[in-house]
Amino acid sequence: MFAFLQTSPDLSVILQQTKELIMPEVLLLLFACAALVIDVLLPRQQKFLVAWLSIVGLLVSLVSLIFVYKGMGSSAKAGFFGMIVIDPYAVVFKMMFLIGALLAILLSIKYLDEEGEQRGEYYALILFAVVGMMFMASGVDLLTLFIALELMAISVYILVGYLRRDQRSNEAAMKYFLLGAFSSGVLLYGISMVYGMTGSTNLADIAKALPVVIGANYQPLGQAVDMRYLVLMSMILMAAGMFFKVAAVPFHMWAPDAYEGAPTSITAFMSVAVKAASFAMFGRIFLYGLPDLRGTLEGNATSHLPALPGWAVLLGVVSAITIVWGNLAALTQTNTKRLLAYSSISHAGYTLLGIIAGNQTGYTGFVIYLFIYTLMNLGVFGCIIALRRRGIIGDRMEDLNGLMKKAPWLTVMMTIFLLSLGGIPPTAGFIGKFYLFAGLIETGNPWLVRLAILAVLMSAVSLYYYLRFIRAMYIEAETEMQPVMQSWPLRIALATAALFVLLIGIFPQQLIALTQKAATGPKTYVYQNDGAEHAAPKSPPQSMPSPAPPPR
Amino acid sequence: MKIGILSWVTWLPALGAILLLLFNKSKNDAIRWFANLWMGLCFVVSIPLITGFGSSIKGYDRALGGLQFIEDFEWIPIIGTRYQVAVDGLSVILIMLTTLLGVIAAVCSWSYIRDKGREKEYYIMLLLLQTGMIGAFASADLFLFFIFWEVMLVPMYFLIGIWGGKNRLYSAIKFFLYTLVGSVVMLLAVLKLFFIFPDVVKSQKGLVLETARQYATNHETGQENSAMRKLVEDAMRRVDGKDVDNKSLPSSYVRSSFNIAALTAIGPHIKTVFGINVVIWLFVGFALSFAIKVPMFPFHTWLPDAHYDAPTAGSVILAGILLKMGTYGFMRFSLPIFPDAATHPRVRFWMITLAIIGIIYGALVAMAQKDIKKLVAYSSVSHLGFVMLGLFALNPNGINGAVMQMINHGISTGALFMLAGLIYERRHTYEIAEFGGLASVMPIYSTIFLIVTLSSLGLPLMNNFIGEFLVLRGAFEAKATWGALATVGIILGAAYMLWLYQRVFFGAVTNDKNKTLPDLNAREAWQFAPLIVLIFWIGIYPKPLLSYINPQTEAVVVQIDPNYFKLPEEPKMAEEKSANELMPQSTKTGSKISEPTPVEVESQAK
Repeated sequence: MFAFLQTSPDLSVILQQTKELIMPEVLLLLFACAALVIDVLLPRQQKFLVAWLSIVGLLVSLVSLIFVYKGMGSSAKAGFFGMIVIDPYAVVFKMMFLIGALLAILLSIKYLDEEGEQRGEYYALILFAVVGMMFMASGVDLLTLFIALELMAISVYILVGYLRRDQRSNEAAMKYFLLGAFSSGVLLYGISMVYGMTGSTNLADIAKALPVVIGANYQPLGQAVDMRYLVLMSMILMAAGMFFKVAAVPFHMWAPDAYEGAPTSITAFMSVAVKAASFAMFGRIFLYGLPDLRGTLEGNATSHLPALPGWAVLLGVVSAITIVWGNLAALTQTNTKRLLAYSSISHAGYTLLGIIAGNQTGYTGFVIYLFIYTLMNLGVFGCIIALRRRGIIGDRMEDLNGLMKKAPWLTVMMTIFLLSLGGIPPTAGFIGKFYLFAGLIETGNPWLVRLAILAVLMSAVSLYYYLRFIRAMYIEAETEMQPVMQSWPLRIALATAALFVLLIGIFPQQLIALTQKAATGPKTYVYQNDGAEHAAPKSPPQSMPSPAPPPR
Repeated sequence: MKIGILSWVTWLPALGAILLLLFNKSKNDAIRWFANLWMGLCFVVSIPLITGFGSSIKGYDRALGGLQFIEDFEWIPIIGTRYQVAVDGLSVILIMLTTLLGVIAAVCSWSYIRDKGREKEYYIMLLLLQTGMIGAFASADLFLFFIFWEVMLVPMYFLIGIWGGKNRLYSAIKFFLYTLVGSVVMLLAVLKLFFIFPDVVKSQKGLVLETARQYATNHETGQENSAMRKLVEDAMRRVDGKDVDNKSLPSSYVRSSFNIAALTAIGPHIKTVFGINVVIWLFVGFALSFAIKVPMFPFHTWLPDAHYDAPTAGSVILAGILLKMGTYGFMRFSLPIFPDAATHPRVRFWMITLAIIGIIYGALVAMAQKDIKKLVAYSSVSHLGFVMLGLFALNPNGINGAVMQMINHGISTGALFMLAGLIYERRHTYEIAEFGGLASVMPIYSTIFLIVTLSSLGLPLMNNFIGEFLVLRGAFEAKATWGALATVGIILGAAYMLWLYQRVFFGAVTNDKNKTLPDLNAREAWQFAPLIVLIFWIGIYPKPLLSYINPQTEAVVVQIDPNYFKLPEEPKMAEEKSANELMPQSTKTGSKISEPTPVEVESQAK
């Protein structure tokens, strides 16, 4: 029977493609299953070994990812009946997830001991979530993407409620699950409408079919039908689903509660890897699947069809209110995890700027910002995890008081991460913001320049609350004397992250080159430049000029 | 790869900060000695920038002018940023001032920080701040400049926030956010400039090259700084997709450059390609950041708070160097890169108006203060108003005076803050009413205070006189009303300074606590020696200092108006300069500059 299988051409193709395309995911899946099994066999005191097994799994997966990348050659490679693609975009995002999960696990080991919840399935669930994320980055079929999203989301729902005896954790998980399930439904609704109109779930086919569907000559039933409203409707539904996943205003309500209630290590993981994965999928759908819906959908004067705005306007408005609201709401928080939740909402807004800009610089900014954000946000949460010790949860602002005296190195690292989040050079965060703003400025579109001005001013506002941390750590006197215990895995994770945040800040060349490759995939878009950038706009944003061929 | 002297001067303080990390926190004496000596070393290392050292290092060549001590290394080729440091006459003077004030700031915090504690962190911050400031003056690449510009904020925040006075938390965050808002807006302007650079170069290549040549030429001696021109040419080659070694760039590299000399070279031609509105908006983006830092009138509110709550050394550095960043930015970026905006009547009107309001308002508010340190802080607003007035007079006298005034203000106001700090260490108050009759109790202190007071109000033979004189002369040349209004500020300045001196030092000792105040000890007295020497030296013989500034000033003036030195009735004025004259172009009329020149620019474009 096996002999028969081996001669089957299908199987050999599948094996070949498995090796070339999804080897990292397969390996990681195996390790996740192994973690579940070994967890049962280990005695209670040695459960932490599962953590090390998972770390090995992540490292193995990372290595095989590098091999896949090397074997990929210069162009993208598709397989599994056009459902999976491996391109630099996918590879860079997968690296992000693996690094994020690696650091998150290092941060968790001691933390779970403190919480008294050291169990193996925690690590297995993280690995399953990462597998889901990796498929989210390389799926090019709406179904693959959706299933991957659910794999990730369900694992994370469980992880948020992981502290069974903690009421806040339970509440957070419930809230997150209900809203998450609802948003998945909305997303699926959008997907089904797109499928109905284009007859395909493959992003490339959708991208090809959509211009026809919204065109004036589209006659599905023998007569011309204006499908543009339906297309827009499905686009908005999909966007709403994705906005929920990346926690953009007005779909952000779950984030502060979930971030506050979840175990801090999971908050860290959620705020970086889950967010990055959602953005990867966001970028996949919108940049690869719906590129022609970006600009204005042209109307027809003779048949009295008005022009309709595309998704650039939608994203622009959402990112503006996300940045403003995230930063303003963070100003008054006293719980550090809640504060960082709002800060991460505002960072989602910044990240969207890269997609909105629509040029090579903007896409690079989109990817590089998420990469940098992974490092710096994990770092900040790592420092907060270090504050968790007997009797102290460590998530109030006062818990940071006088930290400089107790743990100078931890404080210095925390300072680096915070300044990086605020975008102060020479940290990595500055390079990320630099690219995002550069993308917007490069377009020369007056509305995008305004968006950039709003965003930079808000980034100055954000420094106010990041400096509150710094003030507490350096200037305020200690309020309690219990020393901070740092485990060595946590120290290694934080030191590595801090080192990279500084290194990327000072020598970003390598990372920029890598992310730039990832950003060459999506179709770029040129906003028609009316020359006078800062002059009063002649037209409202709803009529952003239609795409013009890039001037070469 | 050879590390030049400029990099040493820039990074030596940071190296000291790293070395300080290795010290045990409790060994306070060792830390203090090390930090002081290291600051001294940093100053000594910076001296060869002026004097030269041996045969390998030549001092700054005034006859050549332009950017010198150029170091140029690959940094982030993908966006065209290079590690380029270089100094012109203006920055070399300001770097010297920075390193000197660095030593003084370290020395004057000797006992204050010993009592306050956390010395290790303090000196680390002081040294890092030093690197930030020197780096900003030394950068020849706008990206690098921006990084140093923002890095400076962090140590200053800590200096005010940790070692400051009562309201330190509020003042520190106010300082940080005010300056940050300005600089993030500047970042957008920098980016826009970066993206229009290739377009301007492509369409105006010949003119850009001509401007570059002009900007690199010393107008007195006619010598051309070819190394500086090469920087511009390297940057322009990037636009054609060639790197410095003339190899072609990978396609993913941005074809633009952050080189300041190159951006200056495109400056006068942005208008022909993109129109005046873009130039003005870019100018506003830069000017907002610099105006907050200066600070100009409506943006000044952070300054009194920051000064009041900063420790003495923080105030000295804030007044001496950090405020100069703003005026330096105007002189180095705003004027030469956006000459069309600077000469635009509306823009100029507003800048001058705000400067004059700053002069008078600052002086009036200073007069009303009940507190020594606040008074000195508001006097800074007034003095910096003079600097801005001089810069926007847009003639050589005004700009030379402005630069002189930048340096003088650093010396005099720095000294005033040190004096205020000394009295605070003794009495723990700055309240003027608490004092009176100190002249009999503390003779050395009151003598030094008198010298500095007189210097600050601009007594002839002292440094401020030269600066204020040149600024006023420039202002009168440009428009008599401006000069007349600014003169009011000088009168008010004399009034509040002398009144302060009278209230604190003359009369009988009214407060019993003051009867036993110890006079200055040797360290406290001698730390003023270099400042007092400079006060008199600049006041009596300013020519050496002016000879560094003047080439740069003339380059800026020519950048603003290429025909400034080519008046038909006075041909080749620059060559007639005799060595004894303060200012050779004093006979020029400043009104020339305000005449719009769009016709010329447009005709050049065709």
